[in-house]
Amino acid sequence: MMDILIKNATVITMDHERRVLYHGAVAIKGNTIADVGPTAELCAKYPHAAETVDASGQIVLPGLINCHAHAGHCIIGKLNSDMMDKWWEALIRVYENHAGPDFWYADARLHASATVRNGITTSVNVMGSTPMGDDPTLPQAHAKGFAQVGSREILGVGIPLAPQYPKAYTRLRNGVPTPVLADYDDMLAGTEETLKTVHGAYGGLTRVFVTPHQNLMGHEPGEHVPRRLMELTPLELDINAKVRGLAAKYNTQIYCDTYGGWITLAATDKENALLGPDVLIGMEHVAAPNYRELMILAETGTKVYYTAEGFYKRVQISELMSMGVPVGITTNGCAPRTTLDLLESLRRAILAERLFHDDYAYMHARRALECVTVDAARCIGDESLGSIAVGKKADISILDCSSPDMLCISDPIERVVYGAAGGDFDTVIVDGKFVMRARKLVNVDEKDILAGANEAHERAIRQCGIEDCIDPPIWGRTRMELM
Amino acid sequence: MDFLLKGGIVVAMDQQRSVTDNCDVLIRNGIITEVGCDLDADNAEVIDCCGCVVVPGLIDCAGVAGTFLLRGQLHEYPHARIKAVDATLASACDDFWAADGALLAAARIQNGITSGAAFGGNAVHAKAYRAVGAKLIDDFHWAKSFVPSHADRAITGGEEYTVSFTKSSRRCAARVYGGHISALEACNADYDGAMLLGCNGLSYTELFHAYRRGCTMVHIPSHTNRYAPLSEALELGMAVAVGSNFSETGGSVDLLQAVRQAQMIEHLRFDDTFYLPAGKQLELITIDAAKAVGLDSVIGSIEPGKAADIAVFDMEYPRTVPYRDMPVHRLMIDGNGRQVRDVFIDGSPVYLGGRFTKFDPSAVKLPHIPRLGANYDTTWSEPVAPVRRAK
Repeated sequence: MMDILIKNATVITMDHERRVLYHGAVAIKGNTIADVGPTAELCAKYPHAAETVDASGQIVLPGLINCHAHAGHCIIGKLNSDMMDKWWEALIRVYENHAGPDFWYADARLHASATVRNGITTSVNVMGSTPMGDDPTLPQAHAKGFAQVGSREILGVGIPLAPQYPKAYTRLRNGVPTPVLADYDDMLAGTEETLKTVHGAYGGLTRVFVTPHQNLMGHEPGEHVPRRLMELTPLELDINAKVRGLAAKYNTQIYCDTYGGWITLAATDKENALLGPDVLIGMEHVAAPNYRELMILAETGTKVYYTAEGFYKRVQISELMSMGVPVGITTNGCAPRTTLDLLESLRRAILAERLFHDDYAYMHARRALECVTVDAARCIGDESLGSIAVGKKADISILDCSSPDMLCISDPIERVVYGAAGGDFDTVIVDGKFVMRARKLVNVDEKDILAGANEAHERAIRQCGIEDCIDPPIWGRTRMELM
Repeated sequence: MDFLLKGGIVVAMDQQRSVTDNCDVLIRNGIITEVGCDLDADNAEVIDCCGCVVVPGLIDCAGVAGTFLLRGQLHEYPHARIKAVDATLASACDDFWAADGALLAAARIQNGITSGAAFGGNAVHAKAYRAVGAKLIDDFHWAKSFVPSHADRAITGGEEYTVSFTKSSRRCAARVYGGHISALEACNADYDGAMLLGCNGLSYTELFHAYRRGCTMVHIPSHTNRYAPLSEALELGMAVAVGSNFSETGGSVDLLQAVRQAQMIEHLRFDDTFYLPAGKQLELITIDAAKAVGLDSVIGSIEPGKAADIAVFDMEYPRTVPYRDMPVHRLMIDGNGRQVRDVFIDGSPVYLGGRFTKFDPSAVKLPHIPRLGANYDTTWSEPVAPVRRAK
């Protein structure tokens, strides 16, 4: 007997043939997709499914995959959001000095609720602004909150940026805020503890990627001065070896940012370069890598994520896609200028590619949709996700098409990519279980989550004394000027 | 019927740009009569706006009648799309125009847009649009434009263009591209006070010409494969709006998404993240947009004496909480049109609690919507859409 039968739907399968089924049906048994086909056929085959979902007039999609977001930002990510430099400082003060497990738990519940409402079933979330690995109780709290809502989370935990190590934090020790010094070895130890306790936890919903913030940990973020990019530092070689060792031990991926010029230098570490099929590399803040570097990414099988944010220059994602590199389009949410709405991010990426090339034919709707489903699944190294086909995991998002934005668009893919927005999802299934039905979260009380988020927000601001980080809106000026 | 919108966060867009928590707005006879704390309801019906941000009804200055029903198609092929749209609209029946007008008006209301343009329409379209309760910006002469083209090609059509621009006593509205303003100047055309839509590829010289002639600009971020001088126009002091242009390159009807796209483009153009802060973004779709269409004495802000065009956004969603201490930022950065709860137009509650009060969208007879460009096919896994010709 089938557990769930979804019928009468337009099914965008994203399977190998990229089939679109009209009057289609999907049968789910346990946490797996057991059958996909015409409604008439599946209804005859499985007349007694435990649960039947009539998705008439709705579009059934594979659960969307967001390859990059940040834990913590949902609660405080909009402080000083008109001013990037102040924004970074404000958030770091909270994350490194005051945010205890309660904060991360509240953020996870809020973040997971927002993603489910946006049709996202898997999120990759970096712990804080820069992936803090020193205190495993923090990612543990986040993983717990996320799993309560019922959504998949991959936590990016590892070594944060620092001018030098050890790095100073304030952490709770027996409930008391205590100054702590953490070297990168301490952070890797904390990451290993996180891997032991959280990787594969909650019935497999939660995973952990070993996350050094950058693929060159001894360089300044974004640095592209050629004479500073001549050789790897001893610290970088040491970190590369340890990161690789840890990821291999727990059979997981490596996750980091890179910048123009860095890929060439990173590749000089013949043994342990943070490049390759087990590395998902962030290019959302990139200062123009050169063409040779794109080829290095393609040749090493490295995977790439990207956000169209208008932050720094363009990233050659169309070129990378042409080379066969899987590219995940992400929200980077919710950073100062981005939402957690992956479909909106998709449209921004489309717009940016068309602008860069002065050509509307770039990033057409079908290609774009692959970047948040099948290609995103390749990015996170789990191809049992990202498509609706027999044997795949049952992560499914059902889009209500009654919104007037979608009403008149006949082609279902164009309808999703050009018309839909986060708030349009009606039902979300993760690992064969309902997490949202009729736009209501199944496992949690949303009001309670919102109240917890407000409280965590106010407490963080009070404890850090950063009331001045709440800026009034800037009116009447094209550019943010202080005079 | 009079209404008291009670206890919302009112972002008035008045001269002081006041943002007031727990604030009331009193509407009498279709006009805003009072804005302040603890107002007396008297006989007015009270609408609880706690947990909501109350903003002036949004204004979408861009949009072409008849194209709402043709959304989402052939975006990758703009030249083919324009031809196919023109051909379809040339033979469109009244049912088609009526459905387009009604559904466009409804979509806009659902996204908090109370006034909008629908250029190139007809009486059937306008009637259907207004019947939903939305305001149509129609005091413009829609000048026939060129197809999107580079400057050298634009010059060759100059004469026809000039005639189209000058044959009306009303203000002109037209889609313009780089080279068009030069063409108008070369023909000594009178385009004073025109509302210029798009403006992709306009040179500074052209922008100065437009500014000196009192033109206004409507930037359409989703409708661009070249840059438009948005910030430059703002700094010159032109009245500038951001429009959604639902009909063209996959832009949503949602103006909040459109204005965020405008911000992204400015950040990319200048390699500078300080352009178009949240406050400016909201101006571009309210009071600035009202100025661009010359209606700022009537709409665009929540002030006593203005028409009661108001949108109420429900902020109690995971995507916008917490918002109490930064409502404008949360609305502009994270909010979207799906959060619109109530819409008042001329004091009439056309949309309450996420439902139309008088209009029934399902009663609109949906005409046959032609599939544009059957000759074109897109395939998967190529970043550039390949073209296949039909046999």
